[in-house]
Amino acid sequence: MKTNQIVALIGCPNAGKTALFNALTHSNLKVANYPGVTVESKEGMMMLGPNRSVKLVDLPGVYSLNPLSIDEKVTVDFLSNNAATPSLVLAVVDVTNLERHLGLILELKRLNLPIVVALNMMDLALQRGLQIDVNHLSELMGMPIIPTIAIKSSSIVELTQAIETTLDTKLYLCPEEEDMNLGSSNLLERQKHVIEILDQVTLKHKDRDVATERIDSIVLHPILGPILLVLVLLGLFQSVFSLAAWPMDWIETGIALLSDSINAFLPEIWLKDLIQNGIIAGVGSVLVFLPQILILTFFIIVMEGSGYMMRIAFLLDRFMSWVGLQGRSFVPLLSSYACAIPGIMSARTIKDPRDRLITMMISPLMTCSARMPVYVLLIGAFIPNKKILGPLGYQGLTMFSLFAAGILAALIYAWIMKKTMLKSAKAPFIHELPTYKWPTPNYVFKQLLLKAKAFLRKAGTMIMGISIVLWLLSSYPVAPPEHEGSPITYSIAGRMGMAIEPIFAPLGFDWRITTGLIPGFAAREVMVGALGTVFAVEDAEEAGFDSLQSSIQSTWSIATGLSLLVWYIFAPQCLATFAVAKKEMGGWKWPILMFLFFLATAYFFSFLTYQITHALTSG
Amino acid sequence: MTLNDLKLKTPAKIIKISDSATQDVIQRFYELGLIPMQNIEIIHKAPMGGDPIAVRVSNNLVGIGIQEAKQIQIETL
Repeated sequence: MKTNQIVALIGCPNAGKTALFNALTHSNLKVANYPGVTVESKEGMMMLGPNRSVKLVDLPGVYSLNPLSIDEKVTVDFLSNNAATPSLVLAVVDVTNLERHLGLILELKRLNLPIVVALNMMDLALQRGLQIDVNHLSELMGMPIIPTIAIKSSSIVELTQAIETTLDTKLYLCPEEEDMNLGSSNLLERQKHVIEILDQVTLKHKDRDVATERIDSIVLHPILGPILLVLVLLGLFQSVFSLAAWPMDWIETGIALLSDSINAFLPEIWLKDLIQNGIIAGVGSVLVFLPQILILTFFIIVMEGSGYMMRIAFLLDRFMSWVGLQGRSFVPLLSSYACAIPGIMSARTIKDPRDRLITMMISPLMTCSARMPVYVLLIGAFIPNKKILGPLGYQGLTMFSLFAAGILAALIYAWIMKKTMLKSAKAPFIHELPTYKWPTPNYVFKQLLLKAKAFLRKAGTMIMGISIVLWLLSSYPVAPPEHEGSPITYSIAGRMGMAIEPIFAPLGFDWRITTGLIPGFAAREVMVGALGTVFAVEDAEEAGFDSLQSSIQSTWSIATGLSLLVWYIFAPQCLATFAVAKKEMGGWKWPILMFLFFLATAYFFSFLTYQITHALTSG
Repeated sequence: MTLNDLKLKTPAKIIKISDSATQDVIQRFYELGLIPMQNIEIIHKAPMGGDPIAVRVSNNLVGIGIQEAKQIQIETL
């Protein structure tokens, strides 16, 4: 039996909601495209028996029903939406953190809905010697309370049984008459009430978390802490590049094999050209970056899930406030290295609206993984593969400079915005620093799987579509035999590229680049595929990344190559980022401003780069 | 005295949250268990001027900016 009943999953941040959500649901109906923090509701089907399922909605964590940030508002709005009132609230509570989490449950009673409480992290309670009289707590609260460990299947069975019983019997106590006003004086009363209840049900108080204290004595140490942070970030970027190299090779080999076997199978018709030079070259050049995206996502999930991410916010808060940001801005900015979209979305956790806006505006300047194909291609073509010192070479140094230039530009932009358009005082820093815990392998795996699915879906739909359209544009109309020069110059894409070439000529861009820039706006990584298509169509015998690199080398000057690299630091952000920015910034004004800002900067610095390099190299 | 004047690892007790604090700040304090009569102790200070600070309240750790710490009135034990 499939019902329309909805169960809302609610809890404070760090209560282990998402892990429990993963354990309770088998298939996710809607998947979100961001790692770590839940900033939007997520839905899944929860089986209550062999033939019965209900919809489970995972909501962003809240400390109370009086929202202070936008992600918290999502939760409160969901609960007060009369059109789809949940039939039951499943509240997740970290048992080792009842002082904070129980207050939310008291507040939930005002909703007048049946509540089942999952008393989560019982394993941690055991470790820390905490003993709670669960039955007594259940009586005092007037609701079923089930002790759980998210990864243990027996506790999941018990929980679903309790949910089913409560749904059917509506067995719950009526809410006490309480003042509906949610002011802070009430919150104080709420917290005092929590302490009273805890005094009655705590059989043995928890020990201090020695492990967390020991880790923090290093992580939050005024000297060792920042050193460790730098090491962690260095390790992160090093792994993104070196660890990903092998799987990237395999994927490239696989794509080449596929292309070869198609070559052997199909006769020389247009379809073969479409599959080889359109689809495989276009989608393949993007697919190669899946390993890098997954490695970065893995780090973010582990850092967020373990509790380290909030320590980073703590360490960096003062530093970030110098340029007008706050420690909490770090998470969106780090996420933006995978893609600016999850970065912009996770800025919802920033309370101050101006700080949030600034963070979103500069997120696209972080070197997202979609830029990597372009960087790798151009650096390989123009920067000599020579060592400077030890493992450090010119190519690595260039890559580092590109990253650094993005960060520097972001900090300068943030500072300018904070001083001019978006003046405000430093935002308050009041954040829970959760106890350290290892995210379970299952949790990490599921989050990674979501990320991979979202990426593959994008590659299979949008990027494939763009590749086909671009192939069409660059193949038709077919050049007549008497046409001089390469056939692509006769096609629509070639003509469009040539039409805008004069605008970009001062930057050293030829029509091939301007042809690639057009689809590059749809998704940056498509630029490489587009160049692949442009060059392959131009010289149809050769294909593949290495040959593309050598074609580029022989066609463009180093001044053009560097100018294009600089262009890619700043502009233009992809269509999808622009769409998300419009949604999250609530209107056209800021996204358009952002676009023009980046475009002007890109043009200016590419112009400088080209003219200076050109003068130096031709002199 | 207020929390920002407290020395590292000196046990103290929260007396009250200053009336001059904004509603949002007061709410976050209460939500995170920083309420009157609770014991409080500064465990860590961030690099670069010791802002923010990390305090222990009922065996949990909370990070607080110096500006916000000025709103918490305390007395040493």
